[in-house]
Amino acid sequence: MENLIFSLNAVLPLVFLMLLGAFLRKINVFDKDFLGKANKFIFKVLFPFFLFNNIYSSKISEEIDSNFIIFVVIISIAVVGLLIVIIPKYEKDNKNRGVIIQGMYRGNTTLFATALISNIFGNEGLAIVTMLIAIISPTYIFLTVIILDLFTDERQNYKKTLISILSNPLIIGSLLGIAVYTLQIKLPLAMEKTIADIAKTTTPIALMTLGGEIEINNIWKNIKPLVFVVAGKLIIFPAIATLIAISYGYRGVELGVILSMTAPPTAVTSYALAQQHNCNYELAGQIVFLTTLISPFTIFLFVYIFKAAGLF
Amino acid sequence: MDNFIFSLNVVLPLVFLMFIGSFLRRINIFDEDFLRKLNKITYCVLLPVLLFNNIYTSKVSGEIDLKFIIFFVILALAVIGILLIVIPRYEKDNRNRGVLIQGLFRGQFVFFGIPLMANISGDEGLVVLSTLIAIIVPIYNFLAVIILDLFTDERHNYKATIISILTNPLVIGSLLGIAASVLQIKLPSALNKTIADISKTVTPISLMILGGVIEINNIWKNRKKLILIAAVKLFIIPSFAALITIFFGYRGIELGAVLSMIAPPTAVASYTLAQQHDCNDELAGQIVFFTTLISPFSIFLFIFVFKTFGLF
Repeated sequence: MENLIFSLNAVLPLVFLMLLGAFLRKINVFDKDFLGKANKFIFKVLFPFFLFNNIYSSKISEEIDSNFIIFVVIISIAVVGLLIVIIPKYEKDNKNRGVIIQGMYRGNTTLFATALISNIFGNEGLAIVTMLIAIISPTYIFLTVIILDLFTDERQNYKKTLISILSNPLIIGSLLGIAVYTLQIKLPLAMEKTIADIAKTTTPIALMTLGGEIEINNIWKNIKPLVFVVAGKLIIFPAIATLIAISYGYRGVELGVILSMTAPPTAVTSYALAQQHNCNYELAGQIVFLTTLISPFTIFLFVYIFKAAGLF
Repeated sequence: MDNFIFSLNVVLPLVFLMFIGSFLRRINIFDEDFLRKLNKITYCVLLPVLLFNNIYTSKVSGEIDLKFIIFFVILALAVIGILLIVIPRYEKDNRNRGVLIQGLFRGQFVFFGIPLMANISGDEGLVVLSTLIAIIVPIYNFLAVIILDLFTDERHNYKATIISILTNPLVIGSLLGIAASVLQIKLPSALNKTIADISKTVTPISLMILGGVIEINNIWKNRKKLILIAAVKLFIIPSFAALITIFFGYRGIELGAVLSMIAPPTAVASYTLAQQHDCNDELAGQIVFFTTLISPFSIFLFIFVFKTFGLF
């Protein structure tokens, strides 16, 4: 019960923000034109600051088991490979493929993973999770841009893909963060504060915008891919990842870390990226909405089972 | 040196955010239409939530000193009274008089004062400031309308004015906050977090908007008048108010609150109001621009002086 309340409290604020956005759309404070521009602003300005800040401000002090880090990174990438092979067999519409694939692997780790691990294990696993986020989220953004480019109807052009990767604001933000982090550059306090201030606006503004854009009426139109993605993202992917981890002998904190990295709902950025790449962003938005709504229950289920089985 | 860095760190993030806003305007991520709508959302949605949150999260009864609030209201009214007597002697053009008076008393205290207060004294000071804002906003709005009305030939509809003041989103947000605080209503923690998340977006977004809105045209034509206004608004009136405050024995948070209310640049709303009342809106806009540009330096000076004399 405690775990359910915890999961609900982690997720409900996100749902509330989306509902507020939907309400603002309904009373016409948000209109289509504004949302389009707001999206551009969020994608090109807020998210890069957000990603930069996440990496820059992560402080890793504990000793970290590098074998375990490598293990998680390999699983995370293997999943993407698997999805690239499997999904195109089931989904015929090219504009949906990229969206479904990224909807299944890209979790909202920045928001959920740290909250989840610290709620289950306190500060113990936090450093590993922060480190993993710093490695995996830029890797995932990188892969997503490639995947979305692969599955658009436009002609394949590798030079263009490469340019679109390197000029992607999210990737620029992440790379700058990594650079500053690894070079241990210390920014002036006033600049740090400015960046942190902007970073804090990202999630609320992005979720409100998303709420304004989601066409809930059209959810039924996409119901088949949606059920498929929700089950894949929230149940199948975390179940497989944790089973592999268990079979490799990982328990307790390590298992918690894997769960925290794989069980969160689909990342909000996936929506912005789908829009930028001319994919089916309506579907991408609905994936974010539904997985966010359902994730408290699936996360609760995982935590409950692992606790009951004595694995935590 | 410490005081210098302290003051710099208070003011610089505000300047950086405004610069980012004007840069975004230049590269066309912000356009006029988007800024107008974003401003409306900030004013009607984000700001009321912030004011609600500031008051709600405080324990009003214990922390707020009624005498101080009365002191400040009298101080504010005294400033306006003096302006009403002095300005018409120096300015012969009726269309400029109202603009000058409101340009001198209406500060950007919501957009500028809140971050200033937060940087000076953290959450503790925000409670005091939020209560002041709740009381001062309706008074200022009412007086601004009356003053502009005094100095135009058009007749004004007072019933409409009163209704528009009572339905002002800032007033509603503050009153709800006071109600929730006095009645000791406890919101569910998920709702609390949502409200806190939205509150964090206000400062960065509004300062970026401000940076984007500011435009430089025809400044030179009115430069003599503008320099005089900036000197009075940013140096003379705040010094006068701060000295009286110090004379009455207020230090620390109270002094910071007075500074946060009085030292900010002229409110953007004064431009809109001048337009609506057929006053010299070009001059009103330039006052906003000019005081906004110079205020970081004057505010910096005040903080530095107060800090050096151990008054903060």
